[in-house]
Amino acid sequence: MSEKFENGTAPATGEGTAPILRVEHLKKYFPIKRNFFGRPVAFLRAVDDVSFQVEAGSAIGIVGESGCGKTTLGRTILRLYETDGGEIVFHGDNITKLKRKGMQKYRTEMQLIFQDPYSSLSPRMTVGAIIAEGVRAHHIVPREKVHDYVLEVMKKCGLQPQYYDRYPHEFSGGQRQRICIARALAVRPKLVVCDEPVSALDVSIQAQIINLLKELQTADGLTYLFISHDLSVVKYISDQIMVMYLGNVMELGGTEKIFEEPLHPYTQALFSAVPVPNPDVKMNRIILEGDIPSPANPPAGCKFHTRCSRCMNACRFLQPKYTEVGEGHFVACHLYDKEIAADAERIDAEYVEWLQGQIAAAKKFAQKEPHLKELERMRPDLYTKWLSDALLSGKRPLAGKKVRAHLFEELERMDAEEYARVKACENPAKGEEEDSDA
Amino acid sequence: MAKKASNYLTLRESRKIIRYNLKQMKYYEKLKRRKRAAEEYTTVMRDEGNLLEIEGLKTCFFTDSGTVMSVNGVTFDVPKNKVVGVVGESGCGKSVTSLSIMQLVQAPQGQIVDGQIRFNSESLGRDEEGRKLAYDIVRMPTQEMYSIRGKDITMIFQEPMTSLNPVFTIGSQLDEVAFLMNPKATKEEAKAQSIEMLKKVGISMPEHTYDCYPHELSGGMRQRVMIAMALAGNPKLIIADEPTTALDVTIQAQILELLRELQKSQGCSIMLITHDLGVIAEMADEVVIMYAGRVIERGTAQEIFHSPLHPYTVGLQKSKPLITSKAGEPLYSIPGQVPNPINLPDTCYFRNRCDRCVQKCGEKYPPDIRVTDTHTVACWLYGEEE
Repeated sequence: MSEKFENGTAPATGEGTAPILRVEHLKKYFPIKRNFFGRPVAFLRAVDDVSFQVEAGSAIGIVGESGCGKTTLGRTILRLYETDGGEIVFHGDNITKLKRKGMQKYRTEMQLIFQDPYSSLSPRMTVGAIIAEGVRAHHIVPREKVHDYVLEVMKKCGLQPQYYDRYPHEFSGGQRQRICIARALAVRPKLVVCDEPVSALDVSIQAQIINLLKELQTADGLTYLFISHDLSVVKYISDQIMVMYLGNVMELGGTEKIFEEPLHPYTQALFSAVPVPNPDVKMNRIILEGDIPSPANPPAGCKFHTRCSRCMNACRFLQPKYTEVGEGHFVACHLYDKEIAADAERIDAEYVEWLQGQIAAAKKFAQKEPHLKELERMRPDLYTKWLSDALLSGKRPLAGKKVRAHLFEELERMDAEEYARVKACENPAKGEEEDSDA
Repeated sequence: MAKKASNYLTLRESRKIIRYNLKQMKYYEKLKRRKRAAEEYTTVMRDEGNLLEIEGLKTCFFTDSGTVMSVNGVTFDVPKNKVVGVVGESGCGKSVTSLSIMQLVQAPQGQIVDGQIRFNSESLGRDEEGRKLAYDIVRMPTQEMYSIRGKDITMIFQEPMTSLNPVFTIGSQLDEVAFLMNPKATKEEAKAQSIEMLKKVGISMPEHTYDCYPHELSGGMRQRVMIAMALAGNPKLIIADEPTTALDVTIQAQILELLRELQKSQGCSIMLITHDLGVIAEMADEVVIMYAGRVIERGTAQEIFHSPLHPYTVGLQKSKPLITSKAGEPLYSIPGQVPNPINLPDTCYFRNRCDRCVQKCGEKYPPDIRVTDTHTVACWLYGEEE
């Protein structure tokens, strides 16, 4: 009880203008491979070094394609996942390392609205019970006033009082999303993480929910962390936009500024890919080649360089730094890094060195493979060229068995005919080898 | 709560519905099984330039809570070498329309009860008066349908993961299509054709992909495989049912680009079903707007986007947030929600949500009113009964 009280007094001393949420170098890695003793040896970097801050009463939109870590980011901030590094500062308090009991107080201050209103409501509870559950658990209002309070919240979210005793299955998607919003707002949160709240809804219902979220924001002074893949929706609701790609932040800045002048090539491509409902507008669209690389095996250097049309040597091996290009406008791209531009020659030299190292490592591994060994002996020029091309194709070779399969695949893809010829030549040699072994 | 909601049924009512449904389903199934002569399911096209003409199509589902008219008198044409976009919210009957064209409506509870779908097949000639003969898909026996389905008319589904079989490789699933087109083909020929198809849809390593299982591919790649399957038989009509809804915007742009290129090079028509007005504006030459099982407006893309007439079309366009628009002012939203599809009254279905409602709206369902040659709208605001 005493701990709760202490925590309760802490934020009252917080300063008024400070950001409500500050995230610094946040990391969340999921283990994907463990060794014999159960120790993780390979990680999926779902959120990798993300920093931003949100002012109270504003909204930040997080956009990106599927698998870029935007949902993981939202959940890590809510401490539904343990962090693997970095800091989350809420209202001036560092909540990164708080234990379950210590988090209890902040649970009412941060709430989550889920994407799918069909699976996020318990089918066995009435609407009233769903909304009242959190209110009772956190003693938001005295016990006897809970019913009236719930009705008040429902009214605020556009739900009629007679819905109190109904079950979720009786409602359409839009109404269910209203129930989800009411449930989140019933505990009087300061920060609401909206995880794709409108993407499961129809256009006409989407507009209703967006308007409701906006109204509630101005009425209650809420802060939103708005996660969505739909850029037009994000533009509508947020003051700041953060573009994510494979766990990294690509660009962060004010909504107007980013939409007027997107700097990062990925942001530009993403914005130009949104179809505009006007048959006469023919946008000069940047169509990205290929798919997102697997987050378990991201490319070296800038993670976007495999699909980037303005890729330079530096992008292939150096991770870009965050550069502040305007007020509050950050971009992680070598194109805007003055140091890189000034030091082009040195970078190129370093790049060649790096590539040589990579080739040497690949060759060392390839020694174990008779096919490749034979290939090197017969056509050393071709072999080196292919190896470097394979390395640069973006998919960084994996360690172990996979590198072999990968190299073969890449080599075959690059020059199928030549490869087949070389392979055919070496086959008898290999046969002899086996014979002699026998 | 003492007040009983209107959507609850008493035991007696529900029994009555079930009895009625059984009777109806039996009737329609019997009708379907009846032997038909070829004359019965060949008709003549109204316009030879059309590939597909749908007229007064009615498809309903006999559910336990009543008969749902999913498609309630839909009429529109798909011209040759054009992309027709069908837009509507979920539950408006756009998918059921496409399934009706393919004769794939879930039987016995789903039945096409009325209307005509005329498919302009090249295998049919002309009648004595020189009019182009066409198949009437509604009356076509299933056995005959096999000659069209998958060859002349193909379909691309929304979720590629659920429409590809997870236990077979991409190659074996594509070969199946190749064998369907040419039953005498050898395995090698089929493989060669499958790889050719994979190349055509822009898959970078077709030989490698041929041996992959669906789970090894990304969403965009899977959708490309689906498109390859749909294209294998040189179809005249491709029905794309929300082909990009499950994909990211950058991948969506790739797939739309691919569909557009293929449509031009193959010279086929596409019926594109989606709820995204942006995709429609990008792709479609003609647009059909559906609401609660009816076509409420149709016209060319220019007409629909520049001079929308029906209040629903106007509202739909205003309620979509745009990346080009200014943020700040509240978004227009259509009040209320889609009506319950059971026992709809014979008035305009949009009446309760409409802000420009006139007295006539409550009397009778408006007929299709022709505004220009290509533009029709079903709304009392735009004219009297003809």
